[in-house]
Amino acid sequence: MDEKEDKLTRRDFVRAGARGACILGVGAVGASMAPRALKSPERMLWQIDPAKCIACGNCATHCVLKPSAVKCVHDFDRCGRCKFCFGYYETSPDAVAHAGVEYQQCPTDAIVREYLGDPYYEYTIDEDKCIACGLCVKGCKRFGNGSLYLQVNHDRCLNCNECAIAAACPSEAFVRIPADAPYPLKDKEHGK
Amino acid sequence: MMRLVAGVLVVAALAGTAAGEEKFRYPPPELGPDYVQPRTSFPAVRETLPAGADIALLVTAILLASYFALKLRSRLGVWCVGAASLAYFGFIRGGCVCPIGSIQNVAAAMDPRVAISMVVVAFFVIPLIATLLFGRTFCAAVCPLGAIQDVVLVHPVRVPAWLTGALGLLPVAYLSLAVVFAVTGAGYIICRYDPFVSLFRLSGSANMLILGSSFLLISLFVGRPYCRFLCPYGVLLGWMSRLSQWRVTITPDECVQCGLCENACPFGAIRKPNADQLPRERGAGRATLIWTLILAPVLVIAGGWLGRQAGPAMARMHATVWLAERIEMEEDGRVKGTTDASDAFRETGRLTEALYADASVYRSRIVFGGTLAGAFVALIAALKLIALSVRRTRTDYEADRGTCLACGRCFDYCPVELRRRKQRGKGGPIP
Amino acid sequence: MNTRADELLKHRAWRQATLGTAMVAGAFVLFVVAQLAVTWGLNRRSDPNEHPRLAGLRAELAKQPGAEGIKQEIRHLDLSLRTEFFRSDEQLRTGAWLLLAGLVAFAISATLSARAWAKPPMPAKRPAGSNELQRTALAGRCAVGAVALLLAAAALAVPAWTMKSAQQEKAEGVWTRFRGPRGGGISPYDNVPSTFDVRAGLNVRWKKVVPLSGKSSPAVWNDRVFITGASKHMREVYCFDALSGRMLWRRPVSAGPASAKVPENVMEDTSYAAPTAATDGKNVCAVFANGDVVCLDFFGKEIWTRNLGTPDNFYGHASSPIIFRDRVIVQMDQADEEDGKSFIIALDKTDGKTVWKTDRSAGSAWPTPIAITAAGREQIITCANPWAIAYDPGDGREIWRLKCLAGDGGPSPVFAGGFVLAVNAGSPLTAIRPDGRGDVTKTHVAWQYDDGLPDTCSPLAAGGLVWLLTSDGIFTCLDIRSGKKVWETDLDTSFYSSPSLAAGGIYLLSRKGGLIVAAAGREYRKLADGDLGEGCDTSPAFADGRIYIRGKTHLFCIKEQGD
Repeated sequence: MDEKEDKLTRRDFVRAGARGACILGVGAVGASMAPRALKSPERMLWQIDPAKCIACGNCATHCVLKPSAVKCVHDFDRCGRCKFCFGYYETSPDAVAHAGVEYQQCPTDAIVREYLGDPYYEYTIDEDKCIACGLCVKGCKRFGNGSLYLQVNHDRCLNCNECAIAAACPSEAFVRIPADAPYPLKDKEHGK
Repeated sequence: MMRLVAGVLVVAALAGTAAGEEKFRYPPPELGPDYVQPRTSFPAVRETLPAGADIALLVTAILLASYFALKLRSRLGVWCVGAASLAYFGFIRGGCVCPIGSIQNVAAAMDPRVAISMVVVAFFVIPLIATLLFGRTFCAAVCPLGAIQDVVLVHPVRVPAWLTGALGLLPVAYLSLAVVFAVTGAGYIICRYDPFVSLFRLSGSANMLILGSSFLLISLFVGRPYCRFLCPYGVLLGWMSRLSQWRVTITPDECVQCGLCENACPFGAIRKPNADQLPRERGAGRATLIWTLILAPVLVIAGGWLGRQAGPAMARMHATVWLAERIEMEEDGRVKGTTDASDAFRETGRLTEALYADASVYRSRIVFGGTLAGAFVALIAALKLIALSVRRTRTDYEADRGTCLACGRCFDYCPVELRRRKQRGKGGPIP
Repeated sequence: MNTRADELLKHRAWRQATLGTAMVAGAFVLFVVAQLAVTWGLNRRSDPNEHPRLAGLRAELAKQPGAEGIKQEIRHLDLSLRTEFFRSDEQLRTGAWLLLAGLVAFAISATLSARAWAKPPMPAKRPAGSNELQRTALAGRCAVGAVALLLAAAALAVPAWTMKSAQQEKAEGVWTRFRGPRGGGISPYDNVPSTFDVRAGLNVRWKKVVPLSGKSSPAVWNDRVFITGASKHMREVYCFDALSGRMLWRRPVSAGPASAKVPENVMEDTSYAAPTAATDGKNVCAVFANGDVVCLDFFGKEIWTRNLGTPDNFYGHASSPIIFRDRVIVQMDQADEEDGKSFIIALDKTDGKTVWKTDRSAGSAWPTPIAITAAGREQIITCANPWAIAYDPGDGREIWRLKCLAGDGGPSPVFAGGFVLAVNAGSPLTAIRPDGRGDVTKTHVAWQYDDGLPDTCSPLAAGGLVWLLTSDGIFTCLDIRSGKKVWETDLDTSFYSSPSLAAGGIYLLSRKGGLIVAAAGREYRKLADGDLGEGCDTSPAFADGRIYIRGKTHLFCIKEQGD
């Protein structure tokens, strides 16, 4: 039995040595990344860069959540309060202000149009209805002031390691931003 | 990757244009002093536990699981920890970030410019170190993907050991592909094709939901199919587990070779004693060993060559390579029409030559990665062949170090274990 | 198995209860899944963003603006879709939670039930001394091999399958030398476009600038188009991709110091790169005005270059080389007949060494030879001032010669209807019977036709008819048996490009770049016309479904659009 014990101890020794090497190796991997990890922000979130967004509609279809975690956002500082809003109405030659649903762009009726005082109207977004299809964004960007844009809503976004929309975005408009400043444009707007 | 840099630039650029002396097509009107401008809604970031808490929970879960599996030898304890992990890491956190996916983040972070968070590093390192100490207790009770497969296993069908060994090549291939794609920036395929994440989120595309349901259905009858035949992290854990300091044993003391535990493991991890088997003639045994040794370098070279052949197709997973090929085809007139991506590219005004140059850099990197991946898979195959030609004598029933998932199902089958429980006065827990 | 609780479970009541609960829970899960699937379908169908009927109604409204009925329909449909959409969204969410609850119930009850019904373990029966281990080891190795083979097959098949999805168009068709494989200007493809208009963008697949200008026509081999260009001091061969027009390579040509000597008298009309390249699928050969002959492979690598001496040729050298089997044959006619400088030479295609060289009794000439098989032997037919001479391609010896050409020779000979047809502006079109030997001027002329004689365009002959085109646009059709005129018409524009026949139409390209396609029949009928958008002095090359034309500055690929 001595032989067997010897054999066992030899194998155990080799095993222990390999184990030590693995612990050191894995530890080294962790240690090499730790300084970088400690310096970077605790959490990184996904966000859309409106300058690059082409309002292709993938935000509505590719998010793993239904409805999408992306919503349309309205920058009231930029909005021209137009009677004929290019985000609200279709840009067809027959569409006129006060036209009905047949000439309105939003498929879920998420934009609310209120009279302010001639000739200005207030447009607000009912977020519960917005599916992030981007039709209003496209119209406003092309013909209007560009005050409507798509943004990831972080109360809904799961912050997946690989964002399915980001992978499908044709213009690489998805960026990762630190969690303490999740809405870059908001900070710009309100000067925070 | 560059997204971090891009993100910071976006913030800076936007902050810089704060004053906004822009020309608007329709200048925002002055609406008088009574007007109250509506506030744009910016929902707050959803509350989650701080990163440190996640790491602490992970460590606690692993320690508890190890305690139940190794010390208390309690299947019920393991099951309960598993259910709790499934609830928290699975359904509450939506299965993200998980250690399986962290392989990709760590691989991508080999480039020092890439950001990585502490949670991800911890989720990668901690289960590996724990496995080096305790065996695969992480698999048993902490990983939510494992737990969901484990709790629905009602009627295990035995997969013969020789087949599971061979199918173990598939997770190796998956691991190699995932690393290549992660390092070169083509995408995180482990996350993309995770079968259970759609079930954890209770939401997803039709394909993902069907994939998840199919895996769940299979898990009713085949024990842990993802863990055994697909999990890339399982490859690493299997290696670590072979070297572990402590491990799950079927019996608490000496094995009496009663054979009652033979069919106990639904994952086929129990190795039978073979001392009573016919000794093979040394010649024949050596001959097999020699040809497997000779075959090994041949296999590795063949694997590398095959990986190289698959390289250009693999490269098309990368968005830039795909875009470059698409633009080339459009310019050649080989396809009709354009895509959103090619339209968006043309609007940026970038030169196609620059795009082609970028794409060829990524392509060559992926082809190189493919070659290495192919050689690596072939190497593992060769090592498996060699291992199958070497006979190690066993006198006892024991759990295979690499494939035992420390679930504790075998405890109830061992009469020595039952005796230990009787002696302690406990009837032993349910189930 | 062993515990107090387990003993309890083994009670009949508990066994039934757990099994019953598990089955109920399982049925519930399946029911919810089915419901969810149905709701999912409803949700997709009522997506207001992508509803075909809604889109159709909007299109109708665009056609009839102000139609109240359609407006009302849209409003109703929109409202119903929206309500349905959000309702089914809600249902899906609730259903998901129900499903989760069901799964949890199923998991717990199924596990308990499994324990309740579990049989006690039995010891294994295995006779001692079996060789199960060996068998399983062998099975294991085979299984590893099988999985490895599967992965290998995937590594090869998946790329092939994904790469195929990138539509690969194939380029077919060869036009191996000036005026096509037989030198007759006839294309076997009947799917070439019958018209094009570059200015309007009709049927133009691509157009690319040829860096150095020249009057050589394109040569085509499947997916490659070869063309030459030169200036006083530079000579280049270009290779374009036949499908995309991308320039695959360009090769400068020089045979050393001898190439530096600039030939005198090269007219602008002729250019420094007038001879058309010749190809045989493996190599491409080109000749330039300074006497350089080059042979390249399909990747642009030089195989050999030679300078045959600067041609003493007023107007400039224009005769194109031809590749005959393994030889490159170049007709180098220069100066006057008395000076004895003219020769025809056969070079070995692999290394450029002279295989044979025969002096010619001819002055400067610009036609290109043709290779024919007639009277039971292979013959190389050349035209020059004043002789039409046939050579044996094996050793370069003369077979027959016929004096029928006086003055500057531009048109190349053609072989049709059993006759060699030779013509130039100063001499009638002569139909020669090629079965003679020696001087056959008196004996082997079948007929001659003395009107509408071309000085540049080579004749076209097919289907018992011969067509002649002069540079001022006189287009004549003769019967090949008798040599009698069938019809004649004046196209009223000038032509340098030789006529070609494809798909039953004769393609005529005017110097201004205008295209006229005439019926290849016994009466003149214009089938189509077109516009190249720039001047053209070269002859087109035809391939499968495509025509390649070299204009003043561009190389064009003409292809039917919508393919």
